[in-house]
Amino acid sequence: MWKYLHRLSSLKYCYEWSGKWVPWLLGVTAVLMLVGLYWGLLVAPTDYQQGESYRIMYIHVPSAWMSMFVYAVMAGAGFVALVWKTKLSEIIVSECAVIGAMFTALALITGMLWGKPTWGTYWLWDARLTSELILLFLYFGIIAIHSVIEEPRTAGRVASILAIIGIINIPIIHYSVTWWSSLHQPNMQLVSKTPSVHPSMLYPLLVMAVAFQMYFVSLLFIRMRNEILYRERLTKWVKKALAGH
Amino acid sequence: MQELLILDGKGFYVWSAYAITMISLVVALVSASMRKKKIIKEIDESLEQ
Repeated sequence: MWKYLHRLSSLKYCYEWSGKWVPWLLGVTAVLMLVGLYWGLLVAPTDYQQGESYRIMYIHVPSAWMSMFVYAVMAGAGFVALVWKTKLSEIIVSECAVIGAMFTALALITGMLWGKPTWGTYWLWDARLTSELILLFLYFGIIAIHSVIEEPRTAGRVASILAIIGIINIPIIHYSVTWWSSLHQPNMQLVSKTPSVHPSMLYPLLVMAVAFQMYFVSLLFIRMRNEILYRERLTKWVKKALAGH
Repeated sequence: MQELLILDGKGFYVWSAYAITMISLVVALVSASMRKKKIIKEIDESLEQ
């Protein structure tokens, strides 16, 4: 197990095996995304309270889930980077920051576009919205660390510390609608005898959620491979790998 | 078709949200792929020197 993990953390090995997975992941992402979009936009019934605007849910909810999931992955990689000092986990931290910032920004923007027809306003300083905005600033902080500190190993360590400290914001986002009175709707009850969303609306949401997950892994692998290539550009294996291009 | 675009008067919000999301996802993928080409070009140039 440890031997396999040690091998997995080798930049050369990671570059090679992730390259094999990328085309398959992108293919699955494209198929799931098309199915989810068709199902959510054209097949799922109209909501009896919100009308058609609820269809924003099919991109807003997966974006919001991913904004928190990517942060958890980043903090986990940050922990590994600090304890075992692996270059790969430092790369994961830096690449997750960019992807996570994108998902968080999308969650906020689509939420604003959903909020206007539902609440009558694009923004309010609600606990859920504010804690999600803080998450975006945490991602920006980690991106800024990598831009300001030139030495990648030092930047990796500092960014990992911030990523671990910032994890406290994730349960705050999740439970914000329970702990404080909020205009935002409560968390969905998916695993329950009586789910809060009807299956005809729930299934396309789950398809989109898996599509977003696959997209995240695809983009992470592509960005990781770029960074590995750049950091290892003076090594023999990179020159050998590029000789075949 | 017109009904689908208008979406009960909420078409602007729904289609804007979908357009922003899909464009962002595609641009992020394309820019990552283009960065690889740029890095390879840089490495090739440094090897030639």
